[in-house]
Amino acid sequence: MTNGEGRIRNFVVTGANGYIGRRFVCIALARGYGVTVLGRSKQGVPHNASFVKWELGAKLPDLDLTAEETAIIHLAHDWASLHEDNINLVGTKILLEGAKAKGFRRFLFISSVSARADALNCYGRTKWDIEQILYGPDALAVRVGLVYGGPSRGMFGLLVRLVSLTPVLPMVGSSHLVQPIHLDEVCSGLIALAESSATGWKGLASPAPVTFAEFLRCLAQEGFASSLRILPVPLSLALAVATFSGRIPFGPRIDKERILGLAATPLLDCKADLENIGLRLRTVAEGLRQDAIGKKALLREGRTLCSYVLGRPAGKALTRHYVRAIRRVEGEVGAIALPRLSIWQPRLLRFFEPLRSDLMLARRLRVATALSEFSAEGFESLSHFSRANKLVKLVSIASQLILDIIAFPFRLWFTKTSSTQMS
Amino acid sequence: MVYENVINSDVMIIGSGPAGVSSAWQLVEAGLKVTLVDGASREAPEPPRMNISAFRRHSTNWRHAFGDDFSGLNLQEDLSPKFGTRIGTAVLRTEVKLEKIRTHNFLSVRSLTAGGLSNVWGAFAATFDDDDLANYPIRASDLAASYQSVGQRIGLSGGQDDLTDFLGSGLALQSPTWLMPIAKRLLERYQLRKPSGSLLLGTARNAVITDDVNGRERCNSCGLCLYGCARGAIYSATQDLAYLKSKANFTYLSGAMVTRLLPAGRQEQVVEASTGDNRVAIGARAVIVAAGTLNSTALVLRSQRAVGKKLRLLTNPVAAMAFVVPSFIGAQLPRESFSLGQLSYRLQLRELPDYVTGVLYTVDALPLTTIVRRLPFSRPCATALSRLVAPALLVATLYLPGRLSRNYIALELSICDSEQVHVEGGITSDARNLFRIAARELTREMRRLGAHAIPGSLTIAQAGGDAHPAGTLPMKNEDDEFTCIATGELRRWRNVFVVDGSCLSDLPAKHPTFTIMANADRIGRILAKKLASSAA
Repeated sequence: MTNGEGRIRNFVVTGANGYIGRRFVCIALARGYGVTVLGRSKQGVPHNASFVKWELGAKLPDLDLTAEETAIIHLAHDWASLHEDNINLVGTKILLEGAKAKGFRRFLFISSVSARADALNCYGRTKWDIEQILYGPDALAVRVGLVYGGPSRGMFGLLVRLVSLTPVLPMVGSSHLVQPIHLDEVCSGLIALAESSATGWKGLASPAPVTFAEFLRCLAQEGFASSLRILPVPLSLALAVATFSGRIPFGPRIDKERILGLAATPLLDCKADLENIGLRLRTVAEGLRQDAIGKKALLREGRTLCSYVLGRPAGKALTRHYVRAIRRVEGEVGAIALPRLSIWQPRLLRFFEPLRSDLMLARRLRVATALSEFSAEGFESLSHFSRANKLVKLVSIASQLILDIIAFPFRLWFTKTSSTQMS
Repeated sequence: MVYENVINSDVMIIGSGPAGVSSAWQLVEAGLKVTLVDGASREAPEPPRMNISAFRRHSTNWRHAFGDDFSGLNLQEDLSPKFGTRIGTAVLRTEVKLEKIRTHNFLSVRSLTAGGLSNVWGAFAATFDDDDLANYPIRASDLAASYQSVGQRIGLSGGQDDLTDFLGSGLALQSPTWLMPIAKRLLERYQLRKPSGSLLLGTARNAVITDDVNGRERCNSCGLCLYGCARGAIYSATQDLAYLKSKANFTYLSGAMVTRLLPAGRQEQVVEASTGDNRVAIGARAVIVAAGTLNSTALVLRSQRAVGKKLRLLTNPVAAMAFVVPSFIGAQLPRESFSLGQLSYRLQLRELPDYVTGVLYTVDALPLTTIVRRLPFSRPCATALSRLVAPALLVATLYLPGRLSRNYIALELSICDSEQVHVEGGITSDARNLFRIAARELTREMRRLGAHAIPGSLTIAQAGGDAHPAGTLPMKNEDDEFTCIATGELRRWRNVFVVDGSCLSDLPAKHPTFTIMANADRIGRILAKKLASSAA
């Protein structure tokens, strides 16, 4: 093995079917690297990447690559193996020895910010143990923070499902700090670290930690245009629920291991690491906004607001116009947090509509009102109204006014709470 | 500096707005060689060509309503809704090319489009009488011929009623534009209630044709006035520009920004203009400045390097208020519509020696959003209410005399030592008081006609919101710096004439556009005569 200057041209990726792996393969290919996937199944491997059958614990197969221009990205992790002396450790050891024997330039092991000898969950302890067996100038452990964005898979997928399920989330360790990093940033970081000559361990995690509750609220807002209330839950109760959830046939499966991972994650100072590879991280809000999930959330918001204003379901064209208009008028902004009830039943937004016109929701409603008028649905609703006889019109207005009177105290309360939140 | 002298003509005109083309008209007709230099290099966007109900159904109507980039959604609440439309946002967009004007408490409305602000003109055309011209060095008789010929050219429509003399008599008028039922009702009641008190009411006099003229199609009451007139029924300077371009002795130079007037060192008057990266000097025997008041004033101040000189800028303080005619509440939307001024009025106040005027608009062809956002209800409730009351609503504008405005324009040195034009504006408390008094009086008079003022609907626009700034380089008999003589010729300069709003000596409470055009026409005639005699 050598560690001189020179460019990496190929990546050998394990765990390429996972949340990070899939995206990494795509990004590496798009940037012109050759990619060889080591895995059990060819499924999901892009046609321009090569595939070699392999599984954790097996030897590194012979590959038709210039080892000196190749980096191994070892992402594979077996979640089923829960013992300290498990397949993850053994498998990594075998892979590392193979890599050293064949003279591969770099070996990057993807670890976690929770990697500690005294970590609460087995995952953290295993990652720690594996880090200890890495040696030499070519090997590097990359401690990755809370990865979000992209397809709803992995830990991110679990959180997306949780957040989408309920307006109130009972939660363990809500005030613990997490260090989010966008999936694409992880991939760019891995490529940059592979190209570097860093050894030991490096961090890929946000240098500006946020509480886990904040992260989830942001995910609910930017990803689902929804508000989210966090209910702090003691760890013991959460573990009991997780045990129970495993027994419900079609219910959401909550992994004990992951809950323990949330309970206590130490902070990692990786500001310098990121600067060294020239990686500037976006905030979670920005990262989600630029994702497909962010655009979907804005569409959802548009559908809700326009349907509310029109009193009938808003169509796709109108909703799309809404998103374009908001992005043009307000810049690169994301969705706002709407009460969950109103997404389910837009007409209930009447109880939440702010009385102050400078609040964000009021501003967005103004845009929704303006655009709705110039839509097919708006025209339909207008001509329907215009054709009705006077009595019908008056009755409809009277009922609107009565509803407004009923809704007033709620609106007042909601305006007050959102104003104080703003200040 | 060495210039490449590209064009030599008899007269060079700066600006293609109503004033520019009006002065050009007489000069071109007199056979003089005219070059019109226009900073604009683009034209106003194509207006929709359909009727209001087809428009409401049309899938791209939002483009016309808010502009291709939705920028109309950002419109301030106290501005005319037409500023937020596609044509409005496009015409008023001055972006990079036009030099920036720093404003404080003042709405700077300028345009960098061929035809200028006339592309979004409300088309209300009133003449000034001798009382209105009291502070001018000219009389109504000096303008009479020009009013006639400009009126003929742009096409005026209106009725014979109580306001005929006030808006200008003796002009050829086409029949009035389509009157909405609600406006008709108001006018009928007014006729029955005579003799009237302090209020004179009549049909609006608009530069909108109701007979086909010169390739322009007559108004078909499609109701889309707000979004621009595809038929050309509403006058715009681009129509005259098209005619002028067809003349051999007329040259149109677009995309050339005049940066400076050069003091007359030679026999020929010269201006410096920039076209893209090139600076060129253009020679002519006389220069007509018609770039719009703000631009023209900035040009003169800059050319004279008058840093720190503060000039008075006149605007008509303007406000709007809404009335409701109860019997029309819940009425069906009419198939036809007309969204420029329907009726106009003249209101006499004890507190004011002259008068207050305004125009009454119906709102059913306007976006309901303009009403919805003012209603303190939830959006669905406000939407339903606005649908109910829109057919019964009348919006009145209130214009006060320009002397009640307090605005100044000056050339200042900015921090980085570059010159910048600054406009300081404001609505005086006198004007605010008068608005309240006028609103009260108008409320009383309109109630007699069955229209009830909506409490709290009086909205006073920001200074400059009338979009008719004027009077910075007034025609005066006194020999002051930065004034013009009665022929519009700028003092201290030789053969430089100012023909746009800048040269107005005073602003009565009347829409000045028609007078600006007539005055430009008058100056054009004078100049044509002068150049002809000097050539002879």
